[in-house]
Amino acid sequence: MKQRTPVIVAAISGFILLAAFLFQEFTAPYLGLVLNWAIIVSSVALLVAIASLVVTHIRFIVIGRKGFLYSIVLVVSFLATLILGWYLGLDDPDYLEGIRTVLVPLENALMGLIALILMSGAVKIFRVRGWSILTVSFGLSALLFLFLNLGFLRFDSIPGVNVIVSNLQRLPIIGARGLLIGVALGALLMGLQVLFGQEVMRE
Amino acid sequence: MSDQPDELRICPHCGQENSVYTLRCIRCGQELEALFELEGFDHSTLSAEDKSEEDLAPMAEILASLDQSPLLADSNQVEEDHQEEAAETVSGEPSFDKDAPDWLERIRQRAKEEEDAAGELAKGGIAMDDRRSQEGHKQVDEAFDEIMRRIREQNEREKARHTRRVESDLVDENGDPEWLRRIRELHPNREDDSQAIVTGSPKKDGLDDDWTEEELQELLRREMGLPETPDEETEEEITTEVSTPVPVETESELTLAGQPAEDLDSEAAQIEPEPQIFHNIPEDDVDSLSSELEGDIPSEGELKQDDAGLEPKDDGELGIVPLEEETEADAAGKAPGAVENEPTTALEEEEEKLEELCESETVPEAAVSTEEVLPDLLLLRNQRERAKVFTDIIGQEGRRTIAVLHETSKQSKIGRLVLALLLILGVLLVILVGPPGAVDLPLPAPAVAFAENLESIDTSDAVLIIMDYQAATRNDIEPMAARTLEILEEKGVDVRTVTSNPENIWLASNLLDPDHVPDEFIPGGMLGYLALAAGGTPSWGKLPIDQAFNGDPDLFGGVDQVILVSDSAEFVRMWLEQITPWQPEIKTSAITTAVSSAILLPYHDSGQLQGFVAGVADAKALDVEPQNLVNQRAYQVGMLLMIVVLLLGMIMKADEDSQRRAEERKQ
Amino acid sequence: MSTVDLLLLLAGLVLSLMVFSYLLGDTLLFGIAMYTLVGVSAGFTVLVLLQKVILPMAISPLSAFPQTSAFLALVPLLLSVLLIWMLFKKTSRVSGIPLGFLGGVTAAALIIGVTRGTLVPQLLSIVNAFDPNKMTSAGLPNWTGIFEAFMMLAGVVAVLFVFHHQKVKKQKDAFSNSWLDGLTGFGQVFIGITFGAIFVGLFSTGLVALIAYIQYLVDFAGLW
Repeated sequence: MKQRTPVIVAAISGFILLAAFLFQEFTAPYLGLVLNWAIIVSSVALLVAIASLVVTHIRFIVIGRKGFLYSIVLVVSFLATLILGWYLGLDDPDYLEGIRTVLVPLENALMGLIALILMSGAVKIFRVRGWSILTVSFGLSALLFLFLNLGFLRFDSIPGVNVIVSNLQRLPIIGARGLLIGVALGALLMGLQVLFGQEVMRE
Repeated sequence: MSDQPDELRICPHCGQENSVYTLRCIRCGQELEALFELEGFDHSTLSAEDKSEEDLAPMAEILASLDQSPLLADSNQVEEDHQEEAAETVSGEPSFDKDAPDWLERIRQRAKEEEDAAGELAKGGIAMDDRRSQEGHKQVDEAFDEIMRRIREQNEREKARHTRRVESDLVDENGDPEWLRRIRELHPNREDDSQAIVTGSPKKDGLDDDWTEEELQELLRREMGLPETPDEETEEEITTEVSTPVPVETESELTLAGQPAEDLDSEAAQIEPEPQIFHNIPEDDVDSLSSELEGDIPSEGELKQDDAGLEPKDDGELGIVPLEEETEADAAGKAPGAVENEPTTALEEEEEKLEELCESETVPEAAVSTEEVLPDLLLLRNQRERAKVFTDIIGQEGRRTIAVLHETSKQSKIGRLVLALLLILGVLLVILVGPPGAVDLPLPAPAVAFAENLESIDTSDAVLIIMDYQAATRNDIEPMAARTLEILEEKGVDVRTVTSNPENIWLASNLLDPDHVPDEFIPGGMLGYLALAAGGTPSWGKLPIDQAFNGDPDLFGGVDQVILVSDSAEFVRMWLEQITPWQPEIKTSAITTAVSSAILLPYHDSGQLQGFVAGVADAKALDVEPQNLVNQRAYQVGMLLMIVVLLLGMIMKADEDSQRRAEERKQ
Repeated sequence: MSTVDLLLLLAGLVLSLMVFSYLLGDTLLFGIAMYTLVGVSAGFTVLVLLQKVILPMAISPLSAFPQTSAFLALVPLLLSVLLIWMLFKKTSRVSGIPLGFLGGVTAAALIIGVTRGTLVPQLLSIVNAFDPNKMTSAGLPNWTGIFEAFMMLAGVVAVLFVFHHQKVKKQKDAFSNSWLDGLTGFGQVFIGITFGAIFVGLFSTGLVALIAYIQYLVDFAGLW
């Protein structure tokens, strides 16, 4: 094990915070302090990550790496946004409106693209995955919920249908609850691994 | 304790320390010379040569007893001296020194000529002493012979341990050899598959368990039935041998040149050159072995680590074979004739190939086949399987292992483009042609609950709106969020809007006044909310987060309801996990997208979430005006097209299957 | 509409149209649009972090230096310096200290949160479904409630078993048991239903965005 220090630091800080959580009534100020430190450190970590990204792309531009046009676009847009925002102020309405004008259609288009890709994916999913319990139940479920979202039927007019539809809409609860519990167990295990050190858990 | 100083007298015969008052050596029975010491005679005047000769006398006897030992083959002179001495001892005559001084000679002569003043009784005593002396010598010789015999037996045993380890004690009651048991002890969860293929040998007396590397190597060689001595029986094969392309004769020439002679075991130096076998049992390095055994099938992400593990590591992680480590260990403890250098060299070349493969994914697959990895290796079956898995993974580098939905073929691109254009044209046509319309969709229970909860909010209540959504999903969220804010405003509820997502700073104007931004930006995302929910006010002053607030840092103080406006089920889930348990009195509901609906259903079912509206499909719950929503007819057309496409995919698959079955029937 | 607004509007329109070039493949135009999105988002995020987090939380407390809060502010500052040091020396061991600290804090919060926020409430919800009050109605068995409770229990167990079974199957080839396979299939039914609902939800969200975008294009065209 080459770097024990982060593991040890993680274990110590994790156990201390865990104790602080468990005795929150007595440790609330200290808990808040440590969490504040974590906020600052995580923000700096994000800044370091972005700085690393920008530095990398600047290096690509300098050495003329293949595809450095993208790097130019990224660096220019980054610097323009940063400098303008610093100059005009973060709460400046014009500045915010400018960003909104550029980014809203861009992100909308990306989300719309997902719908188009899902269309082509829906054709291929059975050809790629074949017939199985999972794919069949997936397909039937998708058809059911698509049909419910069509709104062609007037559910109010037929007595008893509402109850059936309501129960059908609750069907994903079982699977979702199983998934949530499974994810939670996995997250719990991961947290314990960090606290006890991954090597210890592997043993 | 005695007051006397501990003066000790060294026995000139055997070197045993005796008390100064002892007449005879307590070990060998030899009369101590002090008896013959005369007054006025300084014993220390003996020359250094005499002393050394006296010291050498017992040594000569020891060496004489080792007459069969090759190590003492050149000590003939000492042996002769010893024989002379022994002859004198047997004849009863004292072996006086020829160079004895004159005064001593005179004393001896007079003692022979004159009548003993002590009389017959004294003579009898002297005779008895002489006899005792002879018996003592005899006892000493016997005892020493016994010791030498033991030493020889020990030597024989040591040799036998090298050559007959397997036939001796290496098989337990289950028929498992010692080396296999040791491996299992190192890694008890593995090697079960190897157990069945090991045959037993008769159990014999126990020897020590200190296994050296060469012993293990020898053992493995014997277990595999490879001939080392003619009289040994061939054991059942438990490993897989892949013959090396290099001839044995050639390999034998490649001894460990330049190996320091002092590092080589003198005993091992006498054994014959070992056959050209390379085994894979590491030395008694528990860490190395256990880590190697524990290593699961390496994932692709671990590939480079495993690749690096082919070379010696100091952290105990091994790749397939710790060759260099083993070679170094062997070089220190192996006979010059033990040729293992060449297999190692050949394997290193294979390792280099593997490293090249890891570095460049374009190497042909054939270069990484198992057969090329294994030459010159004699691996345990389990290890071979792992090596095969390893090479398989290397071979899969750059190749697709799972089917992907987005094929990049031209036909696929055209198909995708056609479907996309179909949807775009359908939506565009509806937007251009027809009225927006209004769709009456069945309301799910969470949406109804959200509306009811919203209705239950009093004027005196304080509501905290948490914004966390992207511009991409704003059309699925903002109509409901705007309507919610409108309702709250109509009621005159105290609303505070905060966000921890930078994007919501410029998105907020869609919901709030055009030039409005959220009331607060909460640093740190969920950590920030957690610090505010679980943390307390310290006595020493303000917390750093307090400085980031424009208004009251007590975010949850007096809040009755929290409404999460988020497009992420993850965010809502984390809020319910991290924040709600610390503020249990605050009711939580959510405005989210349709995609989050399924994941949030269990939280509503468990009562953690008061209710939620998910996308424009639930807009009816809040009586959102149709003009504030996207075109409902276009929405219906899109849904219909998706149903058609999904059915089309099913039909195409069924058609393919029927065609394939028909072809199979024909065949 | 000012010239700047018009230019920004055109920039947004052109960039969004570039996105749809993805339908023709991963083109240069799509790359430009994506890198623009990343650049603008990163620039704005840096600005927000500097002005809303770093300056008020890490720098401002230092102004009150003799006080305890100022001394306490040195700790995250030191950790931040160690992190920034990673920019210059990526293999620096000291940079692992703040990352380890963050990992430990996150792990502790995860353990507490997951336990109190998901595991216990969701498991209790399953158990509470077997409450006699819910399983009876006016002294008679509430067959719907009973059915729901048992289905929920069996379904969740089966879903959890699916993952376990898949993992075991990967480790041991040719491990097959009709009973276990049946249970796995039962769980797969519920997973498939949930995935189907998520798929429709994702398509619904995307479709709404697409409709809004096309509407945006139509409105833009209506300007001329």
